[in-house]
Amino acid sequence: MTAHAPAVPGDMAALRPEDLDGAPAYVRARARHAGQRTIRRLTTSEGVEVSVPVAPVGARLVAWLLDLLLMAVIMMVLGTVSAVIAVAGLPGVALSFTTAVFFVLRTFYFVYFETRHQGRTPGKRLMKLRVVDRHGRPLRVESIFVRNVTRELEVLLPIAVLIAPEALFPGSQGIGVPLSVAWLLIFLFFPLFNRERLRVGDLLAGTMVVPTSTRVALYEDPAIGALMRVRNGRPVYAFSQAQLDTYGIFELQVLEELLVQNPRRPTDPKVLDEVADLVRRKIGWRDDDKKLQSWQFLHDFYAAMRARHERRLMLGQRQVFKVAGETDGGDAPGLVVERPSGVLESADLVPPSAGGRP
Amino acid sequence: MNDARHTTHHAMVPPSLVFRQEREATWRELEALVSRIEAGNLRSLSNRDLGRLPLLYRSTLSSLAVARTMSLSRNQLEYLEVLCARAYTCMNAPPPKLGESLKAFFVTRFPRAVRRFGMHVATATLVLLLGVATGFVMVERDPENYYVFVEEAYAQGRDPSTSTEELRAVLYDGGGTNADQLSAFSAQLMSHNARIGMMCFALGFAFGIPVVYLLFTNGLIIGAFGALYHSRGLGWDLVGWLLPHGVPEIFAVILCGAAGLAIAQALVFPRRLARMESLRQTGRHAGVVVLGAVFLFFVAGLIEGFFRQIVDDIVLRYAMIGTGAAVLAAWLLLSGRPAQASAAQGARS
Repeated sequence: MTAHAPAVPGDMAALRPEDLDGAPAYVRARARHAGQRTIRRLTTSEGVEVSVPVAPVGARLVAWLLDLLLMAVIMMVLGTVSAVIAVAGLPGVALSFTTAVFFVLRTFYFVYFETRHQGRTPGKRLMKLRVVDRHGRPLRVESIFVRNVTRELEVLLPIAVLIAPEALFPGSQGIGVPLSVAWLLIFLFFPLFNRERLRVGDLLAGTMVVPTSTRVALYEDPAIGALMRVRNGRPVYAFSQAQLDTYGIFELQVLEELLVQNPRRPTDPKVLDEVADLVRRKIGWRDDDKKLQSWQFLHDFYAAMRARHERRLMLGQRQVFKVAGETDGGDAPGLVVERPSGVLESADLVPPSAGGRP
Repeated sequence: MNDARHTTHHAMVPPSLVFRQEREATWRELEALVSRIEAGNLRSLSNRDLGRLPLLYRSTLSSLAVARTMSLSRNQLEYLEVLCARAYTCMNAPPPKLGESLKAFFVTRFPRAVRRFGMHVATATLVLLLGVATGFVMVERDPENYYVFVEEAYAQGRDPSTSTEELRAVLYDGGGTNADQLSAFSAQLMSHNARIGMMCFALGFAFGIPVVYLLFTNGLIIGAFGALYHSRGLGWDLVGWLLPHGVPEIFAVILCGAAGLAIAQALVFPRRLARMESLRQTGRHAGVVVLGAVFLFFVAGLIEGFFRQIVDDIVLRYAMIGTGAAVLAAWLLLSGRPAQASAAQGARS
C-alpha cells in the first residue's frame, strides 16, 4: 500500500499521513488518537533507543504545591520552637535560629530530597514523579542545585514584580515595569512552551521530570492456544495463504486487542460471534455443516495470520491494511488435525468441555 | 480429505511467540527487580540481585531491539518499551555517598570550576570595581549622592548627617550588641547575601544584563560607603571593618556574577554546540560555582556576625584580611590541579 516503512513495523502509532491515504475512517481515527503521549528518545550505551515518557505539567504543579505545603508545615513547627526559645529569654538566638533554619530549608529542601531519594521529593513521590538526567547519566548534586536555584527567577521574582514592582526596579519609568513583567511571566510559563515541559532550571541543569507510574502488563499471548492445540493433536482451524493475506497488520493488532484476556474487561461472547462471522465471510470460509466455534476460530486465525505476516516481514513484505472484497477460500483445509506423519485430517469439532480451553 | 500441506504446526506458530517463550523469564525477573527498586531504594536489593541486574537489563534491551524488527504483537512491544524505559532510569540513579562527594566537591570540583570561568570572574570583578570607583567619586564630589546610592535600610543610620564619633563607634564598639543578637545579625546577613548571590546567577539566564546591573549597584554602595568614611578620615578603619568578611563575601558575589555571565554567554554565543547543549554543559559547571559561593557566604556570615564584633584591634583585623585572602587564593588557584611533577616523574621511570 505504501513505500514508506516506519522503523518499528509493529508500531501502528507511527503511521504517517502518507501511509494513511485512502485508508478507511476507523484507521485514521485510530492513528490520530495513538500518537498523543509525549516521549523523549534516548540512546543507551548499548546502542538501543528507549522511549522515556514526559511528566504532564499539571501533575508537576500539584507536586510542587504539595512540597510547598510540607515546607510550610515544617516552618510552622520550627517557628513554634523558636518562639519557645525567645520566650525563654534568648530572643537573639531564637531569631538567628529561625533565620538560619528558614534559609537552609528554603534553599536545600528540594536539593536534599532529590539527591538522597533518587530525584523524588515527598510531593513528587505522592504524584509518582521523578527527576532524571535528560541524557541518561547519573544525577549530580550541582545539577539538582542549579535546577532549584533558578526557581528564584521563575517564581519569586515574577511574584515580587507583580506585587511590588517599585521595590525591585526602583525608579523605573513607565514602559520598564510592564516589559519586565512580561519578561518574567515568560519564564514562569516556560514549561508550556517546550515539548518536554522543561523549566528554566531543567534546561540549565540538563534534567527532566518523568512519571514513574507507567506500567504495561504482559498478557497471555493469544497465539499460545493454537500452539498447544497443535502440539497435543487437537483439531485446529487451518487456512490458506490467500485467506491469511486478506487482512493486514493493522487488522491483526485490532484482533489482538479483542482477544487479549484482560481480567478487567472480559470479552463479550456475542462480540466474538459477530467478529467471527465477519471474518468468515470476508475470507470465504466454507460453510460446512459443522457449527463454527467463534472463540477457537478467532484464536487460530489470529495465530496463523500473525505467523504468516511475521514470516512475510522477514522477507521484506509488509502489508499494513486489508485487501478489498472477499477472498475465495476454496482451497483452505478447514478444521483439521495434524497427524504425527504430517498428514492433515479433517476433524470434527470437539466440544469445549472435552479438551482445549474454555 | 484435504491435501493442503501448507498449514502445518510450523506455520501456525508466530516467530515472536517462540521468541517470547525463550525470553519471558528474563523479562519477568527484570520487571520484579525494577518494581522493587522503584518502590524503595537500591539498598533493599540483595547482592545477588544487584549482580543480576545489569545482565537482565542488557538482555531485555536486546530483546527490545529484536522485537522491534520482527514482532507484530502490540502488547509485547509496548511491554518491552515501557519495561526498558523504567529499567533505564533505574540503572542510572546510584545512591550518592555524602562524605566522599563533599570532599571531592571542595577539593577538586569547585576550584576547577572557578578556574574554568577565569575570564568571567575577571569581568565580574571589573564591573564591581567600576561600581566602587563610580560610587566613591560621585559621593566625594557631592555627599548628597550618598542617599541616591545607599538605601535607608542598608545604611542603618550611617549617613553624611551622622557624626564622626558615631561612625567610629559602629566600626569598633560593635554597637553594644550581645551574643545572641550577634548570631541573629550574622544569620540574617548570610541569608540575605546568599539570596542576592543566587539571584545573580539565576538572572544570568536573562542574557546577563541584570547580572551586570546587580554587580555595578553593589559596587556603588561600597564606593559610597567608602567615600563617606574617607571624608571623615576613617578610610582605613572602614577597610579593616569591611574586608575580614568582605573578602569571602565580595568574592562570592563576584563568583555568582561570573556564573551568571557564563550562562548568559552560553545562551548568546553557543559556539560549536547546540544552544541547549551549551546551556546544559555550562549550567553544570556554573552550578558548582554557585554552590561553592553559597558556602563562602556562610563563612562570611559567620565572620561578619562574630569575629568582627568581637575583635576590635585594627591590626588583628588586617591580619585576618591577609590570611583570608591568602587562603582563598591558594585554594582556588592550586587545589585540584593534576600533579604535573609526579606525572613527569612517572614518565621518566
